[in-house]
Amino acid sequence: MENTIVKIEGLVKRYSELIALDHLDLEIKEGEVFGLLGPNGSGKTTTINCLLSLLSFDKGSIEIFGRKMSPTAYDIKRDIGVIMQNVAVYEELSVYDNIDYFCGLYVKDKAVRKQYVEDAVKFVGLEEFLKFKPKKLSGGLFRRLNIACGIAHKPRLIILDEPTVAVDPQSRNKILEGIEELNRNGATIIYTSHYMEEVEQICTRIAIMDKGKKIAEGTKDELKRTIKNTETVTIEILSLPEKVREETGSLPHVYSAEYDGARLTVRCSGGKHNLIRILEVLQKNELSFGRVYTELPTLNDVFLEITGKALRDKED
Amino acid sequence: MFLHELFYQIKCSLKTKELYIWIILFPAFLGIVFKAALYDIYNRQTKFETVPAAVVTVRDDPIFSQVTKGINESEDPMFSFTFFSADEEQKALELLDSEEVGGVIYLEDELSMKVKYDGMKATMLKTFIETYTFQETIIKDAVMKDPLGYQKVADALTEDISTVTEVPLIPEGTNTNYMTQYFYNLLAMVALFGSMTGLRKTVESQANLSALGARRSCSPVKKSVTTVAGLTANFIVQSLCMVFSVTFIRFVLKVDLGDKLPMIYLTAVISGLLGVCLGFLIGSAGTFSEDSKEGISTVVSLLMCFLSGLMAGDMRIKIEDRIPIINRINPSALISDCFFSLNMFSDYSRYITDIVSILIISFIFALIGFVLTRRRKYASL
Amino acid sequence: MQVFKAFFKVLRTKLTMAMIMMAVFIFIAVAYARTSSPTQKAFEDSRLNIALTDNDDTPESRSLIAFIGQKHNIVDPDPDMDRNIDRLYYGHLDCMLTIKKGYAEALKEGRTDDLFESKRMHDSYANIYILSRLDQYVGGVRASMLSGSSLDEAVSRTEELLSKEAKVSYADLNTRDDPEFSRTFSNYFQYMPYILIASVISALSPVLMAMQRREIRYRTGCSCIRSSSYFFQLILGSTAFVAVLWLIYMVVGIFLKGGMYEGKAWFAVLNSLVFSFVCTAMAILIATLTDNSRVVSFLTQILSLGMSFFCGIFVPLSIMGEGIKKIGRLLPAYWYISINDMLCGRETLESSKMISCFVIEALFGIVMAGAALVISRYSRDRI
Repeated sequence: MENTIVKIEGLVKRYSELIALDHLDLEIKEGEVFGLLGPNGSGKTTTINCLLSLLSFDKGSIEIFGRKMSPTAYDIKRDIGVIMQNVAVYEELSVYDNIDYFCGLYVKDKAVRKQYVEDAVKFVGLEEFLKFKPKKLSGGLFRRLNIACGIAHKPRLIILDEPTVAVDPQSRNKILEGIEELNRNGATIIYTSHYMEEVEQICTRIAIMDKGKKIAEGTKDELKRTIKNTETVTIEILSLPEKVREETGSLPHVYSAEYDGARLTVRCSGGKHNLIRILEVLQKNELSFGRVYTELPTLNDVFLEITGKALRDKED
Repeated sequence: MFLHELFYQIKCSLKTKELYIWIILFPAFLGIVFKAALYDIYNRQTKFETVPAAVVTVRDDPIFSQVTKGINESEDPMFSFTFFSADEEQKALELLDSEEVGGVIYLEDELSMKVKYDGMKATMLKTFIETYTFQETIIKDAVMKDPLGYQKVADALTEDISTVTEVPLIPEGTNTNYMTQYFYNLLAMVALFGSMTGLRKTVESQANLSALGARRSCSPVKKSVTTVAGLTANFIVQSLCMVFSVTFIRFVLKVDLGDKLPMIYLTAVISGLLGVCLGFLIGSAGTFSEDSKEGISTVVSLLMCFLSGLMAGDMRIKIEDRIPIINRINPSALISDCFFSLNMFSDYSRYITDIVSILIISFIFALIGFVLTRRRKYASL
Repeated sequence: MQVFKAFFKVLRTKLTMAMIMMAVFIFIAVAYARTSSPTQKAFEDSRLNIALTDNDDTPESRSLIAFIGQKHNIVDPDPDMDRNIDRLYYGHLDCMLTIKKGYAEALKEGRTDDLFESKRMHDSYANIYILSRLDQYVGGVRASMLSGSSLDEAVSRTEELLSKEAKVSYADLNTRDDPEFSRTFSNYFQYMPYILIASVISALSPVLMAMQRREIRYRTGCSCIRSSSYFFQLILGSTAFVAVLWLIYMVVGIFLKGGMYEGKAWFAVLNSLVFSFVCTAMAILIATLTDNSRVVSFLTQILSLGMSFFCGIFVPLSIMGEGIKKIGRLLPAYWYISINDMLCGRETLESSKMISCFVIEALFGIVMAGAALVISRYSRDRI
């Protein structure tokens, strides 16, 4: 059995009236890429800040590496790498100096440190920008610098709080690949995001949060299995009589059929040949239709089903 | 670890633009302004120089001419007279208008004078006229009383006498140009502006004040180490700035700061410490934005400097007459008084009182700062 | 008037800081005006402050003290010598004099040396003046006695003659202290440019910068509002805000004066209003040039303190060198101070000269506002 790296039990955090964390329990095992998924304001960052002992909390306990976490638990902190949501680097220092500075807070030996800093630079691909001031970097490179500052000391536990916010797709992929590589090299990762695609792509285990509560936890497959949706069929169609929609809805395995004036969305639960049966109904009624596509369930569907609302706003 | 922090904090400070703007460029600018606009005023206004005057001769008076020429030719004369005829009056008035003479004396039946401004030069010329009239009257008196013996009265009157023994209050050669106090206050301002970089360091080490602070709190370095290293770095950089300022004022602007130059440098460095501690205090008090804190520290520093005479030169002495306690606790007043005492007095008692006060105030600021930053966890970020 | 309204909404968020600044500046201005003695002593009362110790304590010495006291202020020396030195240094004390024991005796015998002792700090005019006065006094008494007068007669004759004043007139007329706008009160207005520059720029620029931020400017540029209308509304908002600021300063002035402005003082009020306009233009120009708040606070300090020293706000123009005044003429505050000096009687009041000063001062404001308009037009495509 793998070791437990992080153990959070019954964590409660209040901001006067607002309950930011409501009896949260989390357990993260060694070697995992643990995703903390939830909409903005669901308590992800608060969880991270409590975990790092930056925030005081009202109830509960936090253990990292099997020991109680506290602001003075320096031996624990030594093995944690932090990549904050807000980029925390010195504007006055160059890229290299920033990485060296933060690495130096953890690693005393100069020769080792030099090697580590070089590794980190190579890892995030900032070799050509060593002498740059952070302000001169583009959004994506800036984020990568933030990451390099967090991982240069080769920590056992890496916490990334929304590291890909406002990052171009290229940099985003580079960052995600990097995280997977860090994990392959043995680091345990805690990754928070409100982009479900990212979480699906890299996380081995996922906790979904909403309003300070953990509403679901498991691997992505486990999570998807918890809901009845197995397939979503979307058909572009110009006009659809209500009668036909009801007929589609009453097909076996179909539990919901919605029409918004341009698209018919049919959600199915289990069963085979769902698509064929739906198309048959449309043909029978002599309705012409445009594009047709089917999707397997996503984490968004999981969230939607549990909370009744989408993980992200449409335009997000 | 301490050295690692220190090294990077110094490196960081040295690359901060504000440092160069506020602690080097701005004071240099003000220094140049002071030197250009003020420093020579003392020589023109207070320090004695021969007073030039124009005499418009409306009526011939051989005695007056003789007396004035005598003065012109004497060594170290109090006055120097230029003569004009009644027709040339306009020329004399032009000289008065361009301030090349302190006054225009009209030699008529009765002596009179025109001046442009009030002031010591005019007063002295007026006194000269009065003296002349006075002596003339006494001699006339004497002639009336004893027409034969008046000569000894006249001799007695014109004899150079010196009734006053002068005792020097301060060592000869001391710089008594009171405009120098503007430079003392300028140094105090540089010291207090050190609070701006000081508060920056503090904000950057507090998890609840900046992202950088939060990030650094996650590292395995003790908070006290980070804080002390930051403040030390600050102090070192501030000391460099203070040394630069003193050097600039003394050697580039060539302002006489007295002969205890090493002590001046030392004092400047210690005052820098006060600025750093003030910054630490402002930085750790409250959770407003860094910009507001910077605003507060500028206003507070300038207010202190105003009270010690950065703007109105004799503010310090006015406060001394009314509410002297302010001068005992106002950091700016204490700093500028240190420089003043070093320049003025040969014994160090007043200087030591000042410097000890500075150290105590720095200590109090730092202590409050440490108390305010001792928290490690925050209720909100 | 969408922009105008937005201006005040943004302003409200920055008001606390502006209020703190203003309170500090009002404090400074009032402190300055309340404690200021005119640097140039008026001729009529060109009184020196003399710290006098009488070790002789005879009718003669007391007579001398009374005589000196007619024209000068006699104060007791402070027991703390340091404070006397401070006062001498700052010119609050002009001379420290001791009448030595045996003064009356020496006077009777006709001896003239070592009658007084003066603690000397530097060769100031005041010091030399008072020494020569004493020499004259003693010399006069001695001469009178030589011509046969008794000591008493000699002293009273000398004092009588020395009290006679010479006729002194001013080459220019009108340079008198005027109760309508006394020199002491004029100090408040003399200080006004510093206060106005510092408080207007530091309160207004952050608001304008927020309104002129590139992204906002672009977005506004995409809307259907005309850029001239946008700019006009900004100026209107700024002017309205500065007008309120200015009114507060004027009300403080009324309290300081202890009554409503009258006569010439109204010109000073007008002068400060024009200068407020200049400051507004300056703030708008600065906000157009930069959107970095640190640069703004730097410029504020440079402009306010620099102008104050170059243009005779802290130190009267009359005692400044010609070279400096030449620089000062290039700055708006110089013309403000010229008007103020004329009004309070430091300079001759000539209406034509005053009008041209007003015009030049206002021109500075117009030119700066114009420059801001031009720059904001052409900087639209600046990235």
